[in-house]
Amino acid sequence: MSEFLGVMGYFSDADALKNAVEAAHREHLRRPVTYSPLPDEEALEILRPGTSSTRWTCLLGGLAGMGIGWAMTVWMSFDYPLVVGGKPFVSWPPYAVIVFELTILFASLGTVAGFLVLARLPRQNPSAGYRPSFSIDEFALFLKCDEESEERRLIERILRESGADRVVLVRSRDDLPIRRST
Amino acid sequence: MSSERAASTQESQLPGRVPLHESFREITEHVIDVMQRKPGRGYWLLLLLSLVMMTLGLAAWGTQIIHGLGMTGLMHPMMWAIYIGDYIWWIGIATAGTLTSAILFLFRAPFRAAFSRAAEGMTCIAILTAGLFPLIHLGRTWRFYWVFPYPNERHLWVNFRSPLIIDVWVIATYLVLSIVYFWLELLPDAAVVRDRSTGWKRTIYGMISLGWEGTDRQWKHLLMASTLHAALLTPVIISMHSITSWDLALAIVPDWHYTIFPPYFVTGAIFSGLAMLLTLMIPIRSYFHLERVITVDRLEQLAKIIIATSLMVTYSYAVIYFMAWYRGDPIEEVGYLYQFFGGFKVLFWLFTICNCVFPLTLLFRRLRRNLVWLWILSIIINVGMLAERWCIVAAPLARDYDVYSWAPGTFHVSWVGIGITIGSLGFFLFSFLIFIKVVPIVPLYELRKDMLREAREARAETEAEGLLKARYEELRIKAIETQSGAGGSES
Repeated sequence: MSEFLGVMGYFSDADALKNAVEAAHREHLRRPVTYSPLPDEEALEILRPGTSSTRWTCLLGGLAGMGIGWAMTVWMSFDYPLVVGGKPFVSWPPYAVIVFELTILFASLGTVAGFLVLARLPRQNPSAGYRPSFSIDEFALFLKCDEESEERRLIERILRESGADRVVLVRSRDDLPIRRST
Repeated sequence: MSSERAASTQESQLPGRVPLHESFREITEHVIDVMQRKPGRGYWLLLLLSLVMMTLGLAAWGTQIIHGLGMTGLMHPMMWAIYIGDYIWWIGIATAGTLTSAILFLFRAPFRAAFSRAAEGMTCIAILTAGLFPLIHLGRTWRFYWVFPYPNERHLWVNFRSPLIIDVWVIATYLVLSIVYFWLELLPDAAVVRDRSTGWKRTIYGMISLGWEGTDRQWKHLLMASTLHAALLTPVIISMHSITSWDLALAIVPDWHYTIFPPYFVTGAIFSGLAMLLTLMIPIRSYFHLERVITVDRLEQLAKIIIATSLMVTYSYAVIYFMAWYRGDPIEEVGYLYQFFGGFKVLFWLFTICNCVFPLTLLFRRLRRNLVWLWILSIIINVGMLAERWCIVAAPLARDYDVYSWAPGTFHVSWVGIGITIGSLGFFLFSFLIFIKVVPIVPLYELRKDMLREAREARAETEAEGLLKARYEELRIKAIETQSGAGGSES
């Protein structure tokens, strides 16, 4: 049996979507989800203020890479101590270059891992209410609510007033596992 | 006043409102349709040409594997020549791709979006091509894993002090980062292709896009992740070409041993890579009919960077020759004289004219905006830079401190060396031809973002103008009122 998930408003204009997001924010509605073919920084600032935490995973990855780099080069130099060119076993200045590269490499991997976890990717099935035009020229705002509630009427009014082309009630599809918009 | 403001906002919403989403759809459909439509005869001919070139390269490589490195014509003392020259050249081309996509991203250069996807693709393919050369140059290519530290029963590890080993780590890092950055920027556009196709294509693009939906959460983290990658790639490309130059500069060969080599290599790399970008983008622009996206103004911006880097490269040459003379080391001087007038004179004058003289034509605005000339010039620069790389790798080896091993003439060239160079060009061309047919050649979401920003700016301008006018009107009325009031009291 399909489950009622919420209300989705479809827009053909980024500014209308931004207005709807602002209105939803003013009314303290439950976390809205927008779908958009482009990153609208102004709307993102209202929806998700602050900076993304991928920069912390980037930092963590970088530090891990730095540690791994030093550990690898130093340990390997001692594992088979061989004097090369009259240098000490651990002649660190050239090692620093390798450490630098590994720092960057692991920072990148950390960023990607953080991005995938935080953005909840990969996803196998589309969210309920997703339309192919979302990746091209259509915008949408999804708001969670109960089927019979004052909130739902308020949401529908907000969406219409901010210029939604269509307002649709979203239910989960029977043939797919329930994927709520995140 | 408040009604005035309301009127002005209402009015100002008009310009950005109607055309935007239509132009989003228009540009998307245009790019995707050109990507997916059946290629014409020219495309197939080029593909065939690239396959022939690759076959020649493979035949040459096979000959070299069967009969040994002697087939390349490499001979003491110039054991490094054509392959290492090619390697540095290809790495340089990759560098400029990253410059266009990452560094100009950090500087928020407005002309970048049109080129960034092609530049990123060019980078990835060029690194893969460049990576072939050290392997080919190994001779016994199947022992390539010796450059990595892997556990073995003798506990023998690689020598981390060697710039050649450092180079391996740099190239590997650069390759991984470039591919990741390319893929991050591709996610939303792969979703576009996914949503417009059916069947197996939909499945494949769905996998590439990871089920991208464009939610606020996804955009938020994607923007940060790609900004971070742009920031991470910037030091990598600078370190990478610097380290490539250390392959030469850390050796005690008189005409290699300069501290200016790293910046000189980096600017040379950007110079040659931007030329390659023009070589690719000008035909793509007319093939895809992207005149509206890749405007002449934007190509002109690239031409301006080319002229700047050309002057920097010329300056580096001048510094090196000056230092060779000023230091008073006879061997060093002899080395350069040998380049100017001796065995390397053809290569030397070829690259000097191609890299230092021809790009000066770009100082004229009319030539800078003439796409035919720009394209021809880009080829000239490519040839010049390849000649330069061959010359700076091989020529110093011909005049070492050990006078006994001085070599007559230039380095020996056999069909194997040339064949592999042509094969690498074939590989690059082949990969790029496939690339333009499977990936949207311009980053669609960035174009949309730019279009929205421009519309908003235009609107804000009209809005500000309206407010200013209203305020001016208000002040004027007030002034008249005061004047008439003052006049009244006086009279």
